[in-house]
Order: sequence, then C-alpha cells, then structure tokens
Amino acid sequence: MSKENHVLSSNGVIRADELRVWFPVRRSFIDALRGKPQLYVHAVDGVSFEVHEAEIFCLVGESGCGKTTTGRALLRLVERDNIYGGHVYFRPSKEAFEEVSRLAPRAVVEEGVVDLYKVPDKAMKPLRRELQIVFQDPFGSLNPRMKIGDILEEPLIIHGIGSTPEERAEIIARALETVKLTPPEEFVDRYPHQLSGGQRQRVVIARALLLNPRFLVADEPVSMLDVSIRAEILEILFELKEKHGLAQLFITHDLALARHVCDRIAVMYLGRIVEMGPTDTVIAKPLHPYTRALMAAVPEPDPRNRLRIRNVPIKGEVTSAVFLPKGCRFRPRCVAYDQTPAIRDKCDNEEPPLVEAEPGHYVACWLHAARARQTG
Amino acid sequence: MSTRAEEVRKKMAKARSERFKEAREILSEVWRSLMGKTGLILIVVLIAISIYALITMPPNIVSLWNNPKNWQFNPTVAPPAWIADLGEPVAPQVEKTLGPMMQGVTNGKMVDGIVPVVGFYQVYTLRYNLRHPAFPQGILAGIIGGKAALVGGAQPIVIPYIVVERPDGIKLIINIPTPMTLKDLLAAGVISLNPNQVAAYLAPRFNISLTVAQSEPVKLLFGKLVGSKIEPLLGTYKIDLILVYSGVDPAAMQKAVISHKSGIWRVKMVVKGSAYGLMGTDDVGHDLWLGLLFGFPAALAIGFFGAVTAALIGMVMGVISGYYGGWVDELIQRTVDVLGNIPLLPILVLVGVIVQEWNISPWARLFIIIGVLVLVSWGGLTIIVRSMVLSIKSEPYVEAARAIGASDRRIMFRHIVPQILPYVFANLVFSVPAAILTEAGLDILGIRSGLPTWGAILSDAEAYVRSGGSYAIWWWILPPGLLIGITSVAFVFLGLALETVVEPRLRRR
Ligand SMILES: Nc1ncnc2c1ncn2[C@@H]1O[C@H](COP(=O)(O)OP(=O)(O)O)[C@@H](O)[C@H]1O
Ligand code: SF4
Ligand SMILES: [Mg+2]
Repeated sequence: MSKENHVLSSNGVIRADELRVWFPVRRSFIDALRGKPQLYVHAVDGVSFEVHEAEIFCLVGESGCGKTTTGRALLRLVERDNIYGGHVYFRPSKEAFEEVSRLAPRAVVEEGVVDLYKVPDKAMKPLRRELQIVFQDPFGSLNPRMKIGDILEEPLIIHGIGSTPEERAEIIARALETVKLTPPEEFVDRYPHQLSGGQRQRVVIARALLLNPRFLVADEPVSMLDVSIRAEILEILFELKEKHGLAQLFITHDLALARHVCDRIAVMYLGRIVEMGPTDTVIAKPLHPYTRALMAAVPEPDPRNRLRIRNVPIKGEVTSAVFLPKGCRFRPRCVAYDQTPAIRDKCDNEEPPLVEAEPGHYVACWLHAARARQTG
Repeated sequence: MSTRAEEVRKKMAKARSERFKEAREILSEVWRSLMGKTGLILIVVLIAISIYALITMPPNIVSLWNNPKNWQFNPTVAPPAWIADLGEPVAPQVEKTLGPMMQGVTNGKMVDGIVPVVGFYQVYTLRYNLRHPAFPQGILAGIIGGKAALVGGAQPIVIPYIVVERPDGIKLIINIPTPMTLKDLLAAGVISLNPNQVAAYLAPRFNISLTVAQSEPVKLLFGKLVGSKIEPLLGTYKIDLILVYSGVDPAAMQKAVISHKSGIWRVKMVVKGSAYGLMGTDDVGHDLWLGLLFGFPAALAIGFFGAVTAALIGMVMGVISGYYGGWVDELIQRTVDVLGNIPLLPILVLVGVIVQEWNISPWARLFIIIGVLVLVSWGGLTIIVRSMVLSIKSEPYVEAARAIGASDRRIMFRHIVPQILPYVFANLVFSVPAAILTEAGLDILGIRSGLPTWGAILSDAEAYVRSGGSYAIWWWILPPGLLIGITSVAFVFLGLALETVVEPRLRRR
C-alpha cells in the first residue's frame, strides 16, 4: 500500500480510513437525567483497509464483530450520525466523478477520488450505481410484493437506464442470463417466494450487476444457502472479478470459505482489524493469537484427521462491544497473554497498533509490534 | 431486440397488468367468509339506497326539512299509515288540491245555510270519510294558486270561513272569519281552524264545560259524547272553505279570478290523519321517511369522510414518523400523546356549541365537527403504522432499495406503503361506524349540525320524550336506531373479515 500523498493507491477502488461506526445504546430518560454517560456499541472502531480493482478482499470474524457494519459503512448505508470518525474514499467511474465534482465539489479529495461521507444525499445518486451490495439473507432482500421483473426494472428506472420497456427488457434478460437464471422469461413474472434460496440470491446479484458497479459488498452471500448451490454463486462472483475486474468485499465468518475465495484477507475482532494480508500468507502463517484460534477451529480437510479432538487456543466468549477492556481488546481471551508475561503490561494498557510484520502482512498484537515497523 | 428480451417484455407487461390482483384476492377471500359476505352485501345495499336517495330527494332537502312551514299539513307524532293494515283504527290523512266547487256573485245569500254573503265568493269542498274509530288531528287549508293584484284600483279584502258539516247534521264555522287583505292572506298561505272557537261552539252542544272542551277541541269536532267520554263520530264530513271577497267591484273580482289576474283559484285542503306515510311523523310533522332516506347518504358521507381522512392522516403521519425518525418522529409521537390525552367529548361539545352559533350551512357545520373528531382520532393508527414502518424499514429489501439509489419518497411509496395499505384499509373500515356513532352521539347531546341525520332524528325523539312525550313513539325511535346499528354492524363485519384476511398476510411479509 504505497500511498505517498494519495489517499488511494493507483489500482485502489475504495478505502476505509480509521473508520468508526458506533451505535448509541438506548438509555432511559431517567438515566439521561441522572447524568449516566451515553454508552455506545463500538461496532467498527478504527478500521483501515483498501480494496483493489479485480480483487476479492475478505473480512473474516465471529458474528457481531462488525463485518456487516463495515460493509454498510463503505456503501454509505449507515446513518451519518453513527459515523464517529474516519473516511471512506472511493474512486468512481470518470462520468460519475465528473457529476459528483460538479454537484459536490467539496467531496472531492483528489483527482478521481471522493470522500463518500462528504457527499450530500442528493448528490449520491450517480455513486449509488457504482456501489452495490448482496445481502446475507436472500429471503429478506427482495420485496415480497414485487415480481422479479419489477424488482430488476426498479434500478433501471431510478437511474434512467434504457428509455423504453423494450430496452429495459433486453438489459434484464441479459442480467438474468449472466447469473444463469435461464430462460429469463420464466422468472420475470414470479414472486420471490416462488423461487429457491439460490435463485433469489442470483436475482439479488443480477440486480446489483444491472447498474454495472465498480465495487460490490457480498455480505455472507452463501451462508444461508445449501452447500450444493454455494459453488455456483461463488462462481458468478469469481467471474465478475476475472471478466469485469470488479472489486469486491467478501464478508464471511467462515475462514475455510475465505481461504477458497479471497485474494487478501482481514480478520476482525470487536470492531478492529487484528490481522490483514494475502490470503495464503495469513493462512500459512497466522500471526495474531485470534487468527491462530480461528485457524484451529477450521475443520481439517483431511477426513482421517477430522475426528481428532483439537485444542483451540482461546478462552471464554466474545466480550461486549460496549464495555471494551483497556489495552488490547482481545486480552480477556488471549492465550498468548497468559503465556508471555513480558508483554502483559503493554497488553493491559495500550491498544496494539496494526503494524506490517512482513511485507504486506499486518498484525495488531504486542507480540509482533517489536519486530515490525509501524504503518501510518 | 432479441426474441428472448421480447418474451421478457411480454411477461413483464402482463405482470404489470395484474398489479391489482392482490386487492382482488383479498376481496374474494373476504367474500368467502360469512361475516365478510354479510358486511359486503349490507354495504352494497346501503350504497344503493344512498344513490336512490340522492337521485329522488329534493335538492333543497336540508332547508326544506328545517322550515316547519313545509310540514304544517302533516299530523304530528303520527305513526306510519300502514298500521291500519295491522288492524289498528286509523283516521286517514286526506289532502286534496282543488279548484273552487262553486263561485259567483250574490247579493245576500246564506251559503251553506250559515255564511251570509254579499259580493263575489268561492266555495272549495272536501269530503272526509271517517270509517274507523280514531280521531284526525285537524283541518287546514293552504293556498296553492293565487295572486294579490289590485282590482279596479283597490286591494281586495278576503274573509275566509271554514264550515264543517258533520255526519250528525251539525254545521259549524270553525275558524274566526277575520277579514284580511288578499296580500296578507297569500303571505300567510294557510287558513286553519281555531281550536277555541271549536270549543266554544261545541261545549254547549255537548253539554260540557268550556275548559274540558278546550282541552281537546279537535276531538270534539270529530267526536260524540258517550257517557262522559268522547268517541269518534264515524261517517262522512263535508268541509267547505268559503272565501268572500269585498272592497272591490264583485263582477270585476270574478273576472280577475277567472283570468287568474288576482284572487285565489287553487287550494289544498287537508284533514290531518291519525297516522301518516311510510314512516310516520315527528313532533314538527316531518315525514320521517324522507329524513330516514336522507340519513343513508348522510351516514355514509360522515363515515367515509371521517374514516378516510383519519386513515390518511394517520397513515401519512405514521410513515413519516417511522421512516424519518429523529425530531420529526419525536414531534409526531408527542403530538399523538397529547391528542390521545385530550378528552374527546368535552372538546367536541365545545366545538359543537361554537359551530352551532355560526351562521354557516349545516354541511359545513357537520364537516367541522367531523374534522375535529378526525383531528383527535388519527393518533391510534399512527402509532401502529409507525411500528410497522420501523419493522419494514429494517428489512434488507429496503436497504437494498436505498443501495440502488431509490429516493426516500420512492422507498416510502413503493416499498413501505404497499405493505401497510391492507392494514390501514381494515382500520379505515372499522372507523366508519365510529364516525357515524360519534355524530349520532353528538346529536343526542344536542350538538346538532342541522342535517336530518339518523342521529338527529333520534335526538329529536329523545328531546320529545324528555319534555313529557310518551315512549310509545316506536316509529320515531326504532328505525333510526336500527339503521345506525345495521350500518355499524355492516362495517364492523367487513372490518373483522378484512382483518382476518389481512393479518396473516402481514405476518407472512
Ligand atoms: N443499526 C444498528 N443499531 C444498533 N446496533 C447495531 C446496528 N447494526 C449493528 N449493530 C451492532 O453492531 C455490532 C456489529 O454488528 P454487525 O456489523 O452486524 O456484525 P457482523 O456482521 O460481524 O455479525 C453488533 O453488536 C450489533 O448488535
Ligand atoms: S496484544 Fe497481548 S493480549 Fe492482545 S492479542 Fe497480542 S498478546 Fe494477546
Ligand atoms: Mg453480518
């Protein structure tokens, strides 16, 4: 990530920079009167990473660690009130950039790059086309009262793509073929509940593709699907990367799946990235105690070893994202902390920074901080 | 264009043409339930009657209703005429519009043997046959055709006499024949009997004291004394209206009358029966049939206007509140809290009293009252809609819509409102009877718009009973009461049926 003076590297499409998304915990009126402090869920708490063109970047972590929120924040789907710091830099297509720089010149950070949270709502439309998302739940992400044809026509109407019903039908037919829902005319007049989970997820992908996006968030796109159809959906995402150079943020809690899908991987724990690097490197040589624990939890590919009881090096449960411990937030569960008395003082008092332990491989742990140069 | 795309376009066009399929589905499901069917049939009937009423009713029904002069030919507090078919003795209502039976100039003749006439005179005659032992309520003559113009340069003077010849041969002049100018007489429009004069005439003949006679003079007119009781005297009565013209040249007067230049030439003679019309009358003599008929469109207008506006406001506020959140939400919710805690009845009574003092049309008055009702009653729906919007808003498909660039308005109207519309509709149906019942309740409390609604008719009955009238006025109480009840039940049935159809659909969402 050679940045020099640029916020985005030359092949970077989108970048989160020290992004913080907090959700205020509802307190009663009485508590507010009594002066009890406002508490926050620190869903995303200082996250930085960049996704490149033709790359699938994975966000891995246990449920509740802030993956979905990170993805939504990148697409500016999080309320601005909940952004407690940081930036999202995005490089739109040339046309979209021109439109945004005309509508909202203050959002332009440098040539070709905009700061998404500086774009006013009414100037977002050209950018919406290029920022798309596929949700985890294929049952919830299609309006149950709309037919597939109407669902797919909506983005075209919103963005004025295809001026006649004929043109729009042509585009819709092509999109359905891309996601292998053929013949397309079989699907347009059906309701979502008349489709299987896999078919629905393809419709969701087709809807995202209609707008020809530059960046796609795939939020656990296969976790709710039968194993048998997962491969086909992943195949489509692969194709999008290979053929169209689409930058993708692939969110999953399944390290085994991430290993299979991603070019680079970032491991999240309680709102922070604890380790990040090329997938092979991270998998082959996990540095963070949490990553090691996750690795140990991955089922053995070799069936002979599968029944062996393995020792997963972690203690306890995920702690609360409201009351974070001082120092390293992984400390209450860290086995290395117990085993390495020398760094305990650091772990107790200082948040470990994300440092480059080896070229392209970053980790946030005091075990490795010493022999790494700190990143900006 | 590829054939494939052509197929897709066709299918989509077809799907679009089926957009209202869901409404049809809901309707047919409602129709399949007994309650839904009953409600729908009743409502269709109510609407059909309302249309009939609107078509057949005089357009000025409201002013017509509120001017007692229009009802003076009717008996008061009279049951429906068809009670005769049930074997009740009834004195029939007889109304006839007549020209003069006889007219001419005389120089001192005793017309009917008791009216001395000099000059031009006319006689209008009505025969009245009393077959059953019941008392008519009175005798009245109204002037239908006439004109007050000078004759030979002078204003004609008219002396009207009403002469009754009873079956027992007794002949009476039953009004005080007061000379009036033709102009004044036409302005008065009616010539009525004078009860005191009847009493004074008949007391000595029946050998009873004047005070007793004065208590029921009309009964004396149509009665005979049996023991100490007055019973109806059956047989044919001949009633003559004799108009004597003076102050002008008799021959000229006659010419003027015949050529319709001045004088009177058409008269409506009425014997008020003991029963009247299809639905009877109230204490003013209003034909209740007309009032009840008018009540149909009035009730539906009140119900629909109240329910539709309350539902619209409630839904829009709920959607805005739930969708935008923040201070807008806070403001709307606090407003709902405040409105919900305002005691409705005192406010309505207050507004009603103020509105009654205003000189505006009864319709305007009614809509102000309903408007206040709406203003305080949209809150309940808003709270429900808000919570539904909150849950729909967090559905991934709403976020998906935002992600594809849908505007707030599009999300609200395309993705949220269609989901809650069936529920809002069921709620609307329920609040139709609420509006109707509230209007009726206000009528009873004396908050009147001036329209002859069912509630107004009921409240008149209540006032009548309270001021000492008898409770036996079933025709005045039951029909408006039943109609209010049936109308309410119709909408409640439909609402219940709709709810059972709509609820699972909401849950399936
Ligand atoms: N809209 C929201 N309001 C309040 N809390 C939220 C909201 N969205 C997410 N959270 C909280 O933020 C944390 C991270 O959630 P999420 O990003 O969904 O995690 P993940 O996708 O990794 O499972 C959780 O504790 C969750 O309860
Ligand atoms: S910083 Fe300390 S507590 Fe945190 S993961 Fe590393 S060793 Fe464990
Ligand atoms: Mg998630």
